[in-house]
Amino acid sequence: MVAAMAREPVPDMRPVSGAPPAREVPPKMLRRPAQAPPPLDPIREDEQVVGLHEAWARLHGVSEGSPPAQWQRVRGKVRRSLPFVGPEHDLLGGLIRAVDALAQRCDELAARLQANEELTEDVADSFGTDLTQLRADVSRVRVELDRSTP
Amino acid sequence: MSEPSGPALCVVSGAWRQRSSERAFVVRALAGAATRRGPVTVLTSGPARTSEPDGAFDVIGLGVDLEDGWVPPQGTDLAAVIPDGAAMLIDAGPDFAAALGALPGSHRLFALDRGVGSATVLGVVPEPEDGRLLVGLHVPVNPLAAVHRHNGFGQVGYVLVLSDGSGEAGVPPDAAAWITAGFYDADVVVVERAVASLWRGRALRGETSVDSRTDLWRLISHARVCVDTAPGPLLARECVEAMRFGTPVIVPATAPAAASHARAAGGLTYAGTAELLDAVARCRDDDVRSELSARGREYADALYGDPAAFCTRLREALDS
Repeated sequence: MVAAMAREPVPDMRPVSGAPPAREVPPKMLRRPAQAPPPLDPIREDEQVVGLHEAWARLHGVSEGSPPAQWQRVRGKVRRSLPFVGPEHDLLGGLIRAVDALAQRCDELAARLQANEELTEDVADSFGTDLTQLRADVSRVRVELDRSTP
Repeated sequence: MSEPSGPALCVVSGAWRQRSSERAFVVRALAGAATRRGPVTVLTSGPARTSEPDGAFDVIGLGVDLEDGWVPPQGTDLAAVIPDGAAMLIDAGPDFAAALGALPGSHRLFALDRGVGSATVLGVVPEPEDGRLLVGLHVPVNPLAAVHRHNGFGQVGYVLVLSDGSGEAGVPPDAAAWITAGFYDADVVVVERAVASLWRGRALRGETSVDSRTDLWRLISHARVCVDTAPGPLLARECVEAMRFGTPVIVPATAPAAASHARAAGGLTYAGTAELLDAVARCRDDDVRSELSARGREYADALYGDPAAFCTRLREALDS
């Protein structure tokens, strides 16, 4: 960092003598847009996760057309009964719960990421715009001062 | 249709063969319009006494290399190639103009720039100077460009920046950098080296090629405002084209022709970054933009959009 500062002059510095001011350094561009992309879809509503639950329910005699309340009852019942249906069911039930937990955490992280991206966009927008305007105004004042100074 | 039988005009041009230059465009337009008045002879660089067809003209070589300046070599017999009594439109340096002025016979001299001997200056841009004859020009545009936007971009209403060619790969020219940084949500399209780049929020969003003049007109006609960072010194052709499409222009205050257009047509000029941002901000107001658009179009169509009126003004100037 220090080496880079030493190597690179500060072109925006006002000359000591009456020489004309150096060219104004334009604002730097971003390598990637700071604009927040559209929010990610909740992974808990993902087709594959939902399909996993449906397959699990079908194993226990609940059809796809069953009312939601029945789904909820069956899911709870299955979960409660898992320890008593054998090691494979136990493993499978645990896996589904793990998938649920991971999906929930992914959705929470996606929400936090979305919030951060929006914040980044707001910061880039407001600070970038304000700083650009400020630099332009300083430049204008500097020119006016130079003109008024004998 | 009979040939015009008015007085002859001799066009002596250093820029004639530089087809992509603005000066060549202006000289060729003047020569073309002058053919409606009388015979036109074009003299330019090339082997002496050779004649070469070039569009509507037979171009005669003067035996000088224009790349090395416009001083006629010793022994050049100018009188042999210039009709006696012909008016002369001189697009050459003062030395060459002096040689032409010393020719025997009566020749009226016209020039595009000041300082060319005693030549009367033909103005293609209105400027507050005495002694100039304002003739304007015909700057053609294709109105269909305003109907169909450029294929490469879906955007309209962007800030168009015509670059001076100083930008580097992945870096916009200074003016565009300031605008995209100062107006985060604005689309900024930069045209540089036949490539149009779209910037928004300080980041590059895409590029497309500008393959023809019509492509450029499409970009110009669908812009909210056109910032020409390096307009041509003689005419500022792209500014005129933008105004003919009703696109307001923002130009450097130091650019002679473009600033004259801005003064005459209510365009905006800038002398620094702050003024550039102020001007762009003004054009983002729909009412201001609409007023500037109407004034610019009226001005440009009157002075640069009517070929018949241009021919008449030129004839009157040459015969005055």
